[in-house]
Amino acid sequence: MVRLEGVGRRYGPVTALTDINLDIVEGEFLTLLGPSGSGKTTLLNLIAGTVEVTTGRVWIDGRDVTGTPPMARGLGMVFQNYALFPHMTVGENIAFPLRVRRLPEREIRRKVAEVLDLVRLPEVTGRKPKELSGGQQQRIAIARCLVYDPSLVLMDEPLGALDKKLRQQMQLEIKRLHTLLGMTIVYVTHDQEEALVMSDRICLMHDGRIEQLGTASDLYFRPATVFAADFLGESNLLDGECVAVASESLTVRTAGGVTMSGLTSVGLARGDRCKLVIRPENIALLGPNNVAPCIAEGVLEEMIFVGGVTNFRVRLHDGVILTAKRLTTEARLALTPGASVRLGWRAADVVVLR
Amino acid sequence: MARRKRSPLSIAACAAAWSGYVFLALPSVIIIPMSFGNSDELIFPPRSFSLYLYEKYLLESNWMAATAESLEVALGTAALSLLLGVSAAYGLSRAEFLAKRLITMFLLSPAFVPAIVLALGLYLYLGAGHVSGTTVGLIISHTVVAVPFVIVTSMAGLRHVDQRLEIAAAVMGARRFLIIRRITLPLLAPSVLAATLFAFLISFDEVVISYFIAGVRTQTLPVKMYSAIHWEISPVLAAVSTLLTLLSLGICLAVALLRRGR
Repeated sequence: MVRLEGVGRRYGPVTALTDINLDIVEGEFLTLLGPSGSGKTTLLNLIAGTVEVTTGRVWIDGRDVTGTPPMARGLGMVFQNYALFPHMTVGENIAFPLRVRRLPEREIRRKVAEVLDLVRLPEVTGRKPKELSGGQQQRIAIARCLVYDPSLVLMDEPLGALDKKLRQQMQLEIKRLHTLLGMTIVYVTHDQEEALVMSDRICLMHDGRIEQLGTASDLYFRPATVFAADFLGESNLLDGECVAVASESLTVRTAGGVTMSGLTSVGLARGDRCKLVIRPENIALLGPNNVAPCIAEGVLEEMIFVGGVTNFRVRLHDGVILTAKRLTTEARLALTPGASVRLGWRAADVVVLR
Repeated sequence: MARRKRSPLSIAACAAAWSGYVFLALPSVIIIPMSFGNSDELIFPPRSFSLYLYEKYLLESNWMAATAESLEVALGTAALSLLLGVSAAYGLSRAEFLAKRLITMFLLSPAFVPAIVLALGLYLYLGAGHVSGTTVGLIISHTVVAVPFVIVTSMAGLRHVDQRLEIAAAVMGARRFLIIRRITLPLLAPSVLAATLFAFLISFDEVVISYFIAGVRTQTLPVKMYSAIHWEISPVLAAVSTLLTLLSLGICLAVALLRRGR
């Protein structure tokens, strides 16, 4: 659907994007995820044509659109600030792209009514955008984008201005429309949770490059870099040294003397340094008689009770802090800071990064 | 409480400012009661109260001819400077091109050149083109003066028109001309209207350049007033002045209301 070949963008001396190669499959929901300044919005604008590439080529639907202005690309876009025309009513806003396409007035009326039904806001046709709430304005912006059936829809942090509850509701709403209509969506967000909830694939951006591209579970369970591990979800990072290499597994010892065996090899040799990533929810608090493949001992530093789960921050003997996230139980809440605890986890839950 | 007490210096400054205002405003204010006199001389205060001078203004054909000429020129100027000024402002604020600042300065320069210099230049220039003394000549020369104001007002207005709306319209498939017509201009309308009123007023009040350019049959109202002082000292002047003041005041009020409505 969309193919980017060696795409780059410079603003004077500042490089916003470098050598992006990306294939977006027809009908997929792809999220460009990254912190601000990572180049995700620039990438979206390059696809839209509102910003021109400095290097590389952009293909949409098998057509090279590199020099094509936005009006000739035939795609839809939903903006962060909604970009509804304040001087037009809701009905006129939604009719705008149809009038541009010179559709007969009767069909315009039918399509506007249809799309308003689709976003479940049928009775606001005659109102001005500013008379609507933020969530309603967002629905109208989406309706205006869907009304002319673009096969590619770009969304630039469309839920950024909404409060948390409404945001979650709209996430599901957008997912519903995607499943129902089957268009390709490229979605920009800096919210990792939003990306995990909505996407078929996530393209993680960092410093104007693609850090990692894959499904939500690829990125979550198999982060390719320290940045990816840190950006998606929470993670414990440990420095280690490879002490033994077998055919398909390796043994790593951390500076604090914790040894882990049976880790997935990533082509490390004996003596190589590496980083180890362990998700907090994979670390268990061990009782006196429990055993685990990997064990570390330390002192409970603090407990953060966040409702259904509790975060236990444990200081290991070498000063490194590991966080374990466990379901909240009364027995666990009875622990007090300063207590000695044993932490355990499985080798399969450790991601080794070079 | 201590704040209420003002230093003698600030009181003196305040008094000076007020006497300045009074000195400047007094002539226009004095004219108003004079315009309601009924004699054939300019007298203050008037001995009796009547609309005699207004009647005389309305019935005298050469005053009416000058008024018509002024109206024609002012409407023409407003239309022409609107077309040129808004287009220029759009280009200057929406496009990137070489020497943009220099071109902006050049387009605004008539506002900085002394009127008399401009008048002399236009007189020689339009004379060479054989349009000196015609209504078209007057419209052209007034437009030169009015365009900078239209550009400045429109550029200020364009800064308030969210460019993201224009981008959104473009992504939806609208060509530039359609975007200008359906999005930019409607949102810019209050500024454009204010600019038009200003251009009209600038032309209607203009004396110096008109005095150089106007011919015998194309005398504008201010030019006719100026010569009336020289040749007849007609008391009708007071009535015309009052009406002109009212017109200016009305237009300025309208512009102020437009600004507030934004």
